[in-house]
Amino acid sequence: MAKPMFARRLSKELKDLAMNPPAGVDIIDANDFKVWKLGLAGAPGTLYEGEKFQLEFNFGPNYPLESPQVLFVGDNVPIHPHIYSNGHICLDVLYNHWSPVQTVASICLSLQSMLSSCTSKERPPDNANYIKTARANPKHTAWAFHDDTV
Amino acid sequence: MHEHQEPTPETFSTPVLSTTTATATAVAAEAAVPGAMLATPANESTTAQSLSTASQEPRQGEPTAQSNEIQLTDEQILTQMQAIKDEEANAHPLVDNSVDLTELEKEYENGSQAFKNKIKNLSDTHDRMRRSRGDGNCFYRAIAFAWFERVMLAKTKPELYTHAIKAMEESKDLLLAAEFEPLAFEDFYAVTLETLESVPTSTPEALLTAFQTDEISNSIVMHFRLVASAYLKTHQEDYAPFLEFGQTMDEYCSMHVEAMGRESEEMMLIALTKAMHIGIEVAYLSGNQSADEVNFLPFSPDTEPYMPPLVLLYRPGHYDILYRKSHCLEGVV
Repeated sequence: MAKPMFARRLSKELKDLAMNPPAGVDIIDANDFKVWKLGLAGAPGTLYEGEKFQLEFNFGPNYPLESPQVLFVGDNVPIHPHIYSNGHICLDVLYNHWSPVQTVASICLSLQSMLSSCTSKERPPDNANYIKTARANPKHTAWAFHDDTV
Repeated sequence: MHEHQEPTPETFSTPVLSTTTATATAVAAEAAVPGAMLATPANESTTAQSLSTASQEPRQGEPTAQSNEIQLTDEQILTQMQAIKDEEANAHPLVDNSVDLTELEKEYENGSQAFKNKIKNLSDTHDRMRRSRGDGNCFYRAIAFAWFERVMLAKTKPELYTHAIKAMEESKDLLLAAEFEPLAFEDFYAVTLETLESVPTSTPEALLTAFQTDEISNSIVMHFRLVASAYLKTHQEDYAPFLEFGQTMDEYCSMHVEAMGRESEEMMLIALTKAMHIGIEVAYLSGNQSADEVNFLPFSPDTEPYMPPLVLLYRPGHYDILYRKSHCLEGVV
């Protein structure tokens, strides 16, 4: 086999993202199969309308068998009860609900829907404590997912 | 709202046990009574965790390691994880060479008499076994290998190959019916189909090598996982009643079926049996029954199976492949 699995899969995903990007998503930087930067625009009619965010995807050689590392980067990290100010995102599909049928596009859709359903812009209550102790890689956090509706 | 524990990786505490030690643990822990359809064998996950050293997502409720340990960088953690994986890989191939059943007896030399009697009885009808690595994928890998091997060794029965190809093609339709994105499954499918198509011109040694190669082996495991998941999703009315209250089939499948390293339950056995039109017989070897007979649990497809049942050896938390003497005599294996 010419290309390793993650490269084959990611080249297809990249092509698909470029041709049919989910609403509000654009590719900022995807020059290799290690790190991608995507833009995510807050959906019209939601608390995040008009805001622009940046997402970073880090892929390991076991992608898609293992989940990518996904976090918000840049100056504007969305203020949301499930998003820490260091960019870490509390979303089950990124961790223990990851399955290889997820794609970069499906993650973007999940994040877009997480933002769109938000009714109150605030940080997680344990934000200050968390960002002091968290590792750079959010996959090393032992997450507990309580409420998907916030 | 959500909480998190002290961010410690699961790697600190990952034990590396030899098969023998792990088996001893499994034996010591009173085994689940098999036979109840769709019941998760007790101890399955705990045993699997001690058996498994492959990287897995942090599981909820998993005890985190000592918080006063020196904090490692992500880079160091990755290196450590890789080292553990390599160690496991060197110790146990994903699928091993087949061995005489006396090897199984040796594992229980110091075990209970009940075990010895059962293995003795098992060896009247079965002569060989083949180990599958205890990485949480052992069921899928064992069943896939046994299936491929059957097709390979049945050179005198070319119709078996035709049936197998047909089952593969149908499995793709099933994935589409379950609304999986082609982009997400076609690479796994392609590798699995390619391996199957190579069977008529390949050798048993080459098949084993393919199953020992991470990328090929894991793609095949993944395809079989997705097939099981797709079957459950497209037959929700039959299987949803077995889920925990409030859990949807999609949630169950993404967490327990589609993700690598997650142990199988009987629901997945049933799903694969029906989706691939193969019979599976599971020999339950556990120490808690007084009878000396090994309990065989058959899983049958709805359609006429095109090959004799594949036989697996189950010990709490782990599956290996068994070879039945009569199958050899029939020239099937």
